[in-house]
Amino acid sequence: MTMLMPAFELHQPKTLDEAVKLIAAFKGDFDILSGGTDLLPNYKCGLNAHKNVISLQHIAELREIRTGKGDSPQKEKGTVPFSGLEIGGGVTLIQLERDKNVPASVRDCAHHVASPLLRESGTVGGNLMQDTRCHFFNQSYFWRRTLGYCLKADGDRCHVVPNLNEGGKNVLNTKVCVATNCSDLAPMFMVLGASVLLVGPQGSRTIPLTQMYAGDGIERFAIKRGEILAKIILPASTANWRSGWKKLAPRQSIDFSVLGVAAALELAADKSVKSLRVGLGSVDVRPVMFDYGAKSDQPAPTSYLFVDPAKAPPQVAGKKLDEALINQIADHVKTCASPKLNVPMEPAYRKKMAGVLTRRLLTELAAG
Amino acid sequence: MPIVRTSGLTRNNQQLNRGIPTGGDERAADSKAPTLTQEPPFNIIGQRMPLKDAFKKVTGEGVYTDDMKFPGMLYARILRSTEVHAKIKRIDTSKAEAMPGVRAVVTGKDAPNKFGVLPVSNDETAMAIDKVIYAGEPVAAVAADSEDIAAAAVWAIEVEYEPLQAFLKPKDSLKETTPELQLHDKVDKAFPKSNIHKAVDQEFGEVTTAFKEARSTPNGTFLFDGINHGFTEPHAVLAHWDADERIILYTPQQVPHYTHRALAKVLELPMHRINVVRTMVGGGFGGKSDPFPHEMIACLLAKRTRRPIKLTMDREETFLVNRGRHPSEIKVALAFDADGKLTGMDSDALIDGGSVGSFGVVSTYYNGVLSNGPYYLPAFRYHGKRVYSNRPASGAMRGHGSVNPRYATETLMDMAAVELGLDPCELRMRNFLPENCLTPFHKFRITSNGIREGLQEVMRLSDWKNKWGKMPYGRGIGVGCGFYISGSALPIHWNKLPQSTVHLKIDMDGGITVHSLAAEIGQGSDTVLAQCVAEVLGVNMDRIHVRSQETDLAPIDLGSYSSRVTFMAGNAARDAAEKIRADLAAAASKLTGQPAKYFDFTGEKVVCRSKPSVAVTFMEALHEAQAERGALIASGCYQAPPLGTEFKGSNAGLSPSYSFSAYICELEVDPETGFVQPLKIWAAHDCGRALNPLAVEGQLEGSIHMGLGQALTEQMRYRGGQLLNGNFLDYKIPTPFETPEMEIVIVESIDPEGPFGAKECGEGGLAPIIPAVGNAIYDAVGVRMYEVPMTPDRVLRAIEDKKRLGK
Repeated sequence: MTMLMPAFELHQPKTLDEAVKLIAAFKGDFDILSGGTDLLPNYKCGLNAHKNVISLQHIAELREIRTGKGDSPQKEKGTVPFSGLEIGGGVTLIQLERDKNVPASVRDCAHHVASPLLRESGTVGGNLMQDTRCHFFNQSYFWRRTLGYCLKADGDRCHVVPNLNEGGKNVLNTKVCVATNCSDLAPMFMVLGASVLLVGPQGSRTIPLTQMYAGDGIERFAIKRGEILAKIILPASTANWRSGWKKLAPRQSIDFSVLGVAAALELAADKSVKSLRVGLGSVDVRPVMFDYGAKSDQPAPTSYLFVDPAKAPPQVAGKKLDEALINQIADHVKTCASPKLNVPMEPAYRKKMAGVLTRRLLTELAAG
Repeated sequence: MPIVRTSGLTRNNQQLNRGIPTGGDERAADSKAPTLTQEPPFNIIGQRMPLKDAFKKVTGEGVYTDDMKFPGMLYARILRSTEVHAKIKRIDTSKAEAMPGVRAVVTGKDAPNKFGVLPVSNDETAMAIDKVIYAGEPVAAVAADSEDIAAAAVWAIEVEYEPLQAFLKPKDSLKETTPELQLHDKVDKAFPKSNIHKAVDQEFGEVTTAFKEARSTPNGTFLFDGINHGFTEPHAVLAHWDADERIILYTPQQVPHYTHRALAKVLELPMHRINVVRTMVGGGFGGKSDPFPHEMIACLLAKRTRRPIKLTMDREETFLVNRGRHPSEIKVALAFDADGKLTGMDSDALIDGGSVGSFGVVSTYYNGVLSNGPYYLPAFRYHGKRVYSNRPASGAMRGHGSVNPRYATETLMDMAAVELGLDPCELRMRNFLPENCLTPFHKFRITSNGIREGLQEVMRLSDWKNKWGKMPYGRGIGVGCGFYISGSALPIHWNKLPQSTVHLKIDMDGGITVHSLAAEIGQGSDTVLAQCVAEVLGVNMDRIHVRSQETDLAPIDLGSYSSRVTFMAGNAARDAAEKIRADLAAAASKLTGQPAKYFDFTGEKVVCRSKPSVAVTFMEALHEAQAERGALIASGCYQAPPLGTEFKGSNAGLSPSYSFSAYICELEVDPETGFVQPLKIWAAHDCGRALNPLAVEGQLEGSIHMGLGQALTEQMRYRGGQLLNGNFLDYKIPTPFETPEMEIVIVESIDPEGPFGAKECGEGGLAPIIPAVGNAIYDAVGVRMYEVPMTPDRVLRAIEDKKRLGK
């Protein structure tokens, strides 16, 4: 009754330049297709479909994984991410998990996305830029019409946090959508210090991945619409860090994660903590990262709408990552995690699990 | 004595073969042909053989309804209610009708006659009339040149609703209400002002005394979420009102006969002007056994347009049609004496029927009476109520009515064992019904019963005695038992017709056509009928062609539900084949001069038993028998014997035979996350005789997989009256990762009445796995699970409650 694909025009540029020109020409009435395992089901549900779909599938330059040319002289300064590994936005998840140059933790993370069939289509760029998810959004036209359309598609109210959006206004005097970002790769790449090369009609630029996302389920990105995620750049500086990944999902295959925890750990020669980052997925409108080793008072960049700012992060630099410290960090992660009742499994449960999975992951990393 | 046989691990790589081909000479020389057809050893019975339709299915050659295309065919779409409970004030179809490409629009008023699978609750109409009672109920339907046009046109139909108070909690439906707020005009007679569909009260024996004198009285209230069959093929039908003024409906039905009857009522046509054609069924599990509104709608549109109409649903619509397992709240107490003997049971079930009656009257009885086994129960009290609510209808699903209460009783059995200091398997052994007995009150006739041997075997295989109570925290082992009917002994429609009739036709080509209306729904119905015929006539499987699709061609059979096909249609097939065999034996006698009664049928030959050198081929006997007569035809049938006793509702649960199961599950619980990972299942099932062990294993593996879904992950979740997870991403059917290794034990108790000794194996094997999981969780982490599915958050909450409250 409801699951028919709406008509759209499919464009298949062969180069990034062509793609960028198309984007400029369509003035917003387009979507970028890179795999389609997220976009096309949404189209079938009638969710914000556009007239033009630009497929990146035939752009060869997006489908490469390239290693860097050696260690970075700027590593010590820790400023500019060096091109340790460049992963094209159109690289499929299967390609990513099989490439021996890719860090084991990233490969493991990619391996646990969806199912083998979906990973054959799904891409790195698609995974990072996938739409946010919500019980009240990822439904058929019939379903949404029955309950009443929501903010994120066709409507003006929120069924998850109706009070926050009463009368079209909330405390921040703007509508807020709390749909959940369920990207598995995003927190993993974040803790490894990834940046992204964006290419759009206004040129290209490289920004840290942590700065790509915005704090709203509808306005998901802090980048311009039409900027193509051309590359993920993993710095060589984190190549020797210990990193890992844990996923919570109702089933071991197919499912979107309802919680993802990634972590990367840099140890000094005396085995004390030099850097420690923990990334969280599927608990908020965007992937969240806590940088416990950062020099500032706040674990940047956690500046985040639903994170409890009163909860002071534990100081980790120079300390041994022992059981007590791990518990402190796990407790902090749990406290800050603020899942919503809009994807499977109860928020309170997922919040609790954020602590459990963080503790388990850090324990593994500490043990080497 | 029953035979216990282990078939080995089910993840076997047995090479499939295409059955046993009609032999050339070299094959005939190879085979050590057995000498008798009706007693073991058998030729065909007991062979592991792929199902007759397997190759068509795996190659994609099989034709499902949605694959079919007719010249001039139109596409239909249904407009579904966007209200949960509301009066329909106005329907305006004019805008839809005016759209280019729209050929017809129908609404509820076009077909007001009520229907339903049970004559006692004919409470459905093709589409809603005057009011809607769930979000998703058909309100109108459109036939158009394309699916896109039809899909757009349904939303051009204007419907004005006046919302009414919704009944979403079963307890609300118990209350007295106004006629306006009653979902149906006919409700249980004892509660005329309520939304109670059916109430059942039974009490037998000295229940109060049993509890007063009991040494252990475990009790609990158990909650079950509703679940859906999750069959692969969504509902799809194709209807054609042809130039001869006949309606042909192509539908993947488990029970073409009931659809045939319902169509006659709704369309106001004599049955002989309707041909119901069962197409290949992509899974049923009870979810395709009701006559459905969409079947009526396709026919109405076909009648209106005189063109073929195809109506294929998406997954969400299929979920909304539902008829899955009832959401239930079941309160049960058991009484045991100091020896661990079960002395009484007191049970109260409130089951949420959703929008319509469906099989619900039967479900209400089954929730109680199917607890009268596999244990001897000397005192029994049951109060059951099924209520209407504003949600998609519940109905029959694999293990109909027995699964949820089975979880409750098996959990309480375990609790009693702990309290009495007994091994849970030992406690069960002390209570099993014997062979050849009647249950005390309902007079269920237990004939063969191999449950003891089954339980012993799975205990041995699982090393139960060294594991139960002895494994480290987080790892556990649990047991669950069950029993189930081999077909309902009494038909839904009261009449004198046999429950199964099978026709055979053999012409000079030597092909044997089996006509039956038992529906092949993937369970192996066609194959088992072919096996029964081939065995009796001593021929090979490739001679047998089963035609089980059309009501025009097939004699009436009550279809594929209540695990009746092997037992009833199998017996009918054997009966028909025996009649043909008598003809062929007479012909062989004529050809050889030996008395007809001395002939055996084996290896494509008709052989004289006393002088094996005297033999004719099957074809020679056939051609002789055909002389001056033409094709051989025969009709065989099966009718269950008179059973049971005489009180209101005493028919429910009666069956000519019962299957028995005993399962053990070993699993791991992550005490910090609550995740449960089953590690291995040992499953013993007494199916009388395994006519096709490959198919029996398949049914049991499927039952276990499906049961694990209900046990751990599957639940129909709602937001108000709206189903929240009507798709296969959010409705969590276990994947291979969640499915453990299984070891299937087939117990052959050789039933005296089943065909070649067979009983059911398609449904009874589901129920025991759920309590086996629950009891293993208890063994692993010491908590009892009162909510099913046992999702990680629920398991974790139970573990934390135990820590906090120390209980």
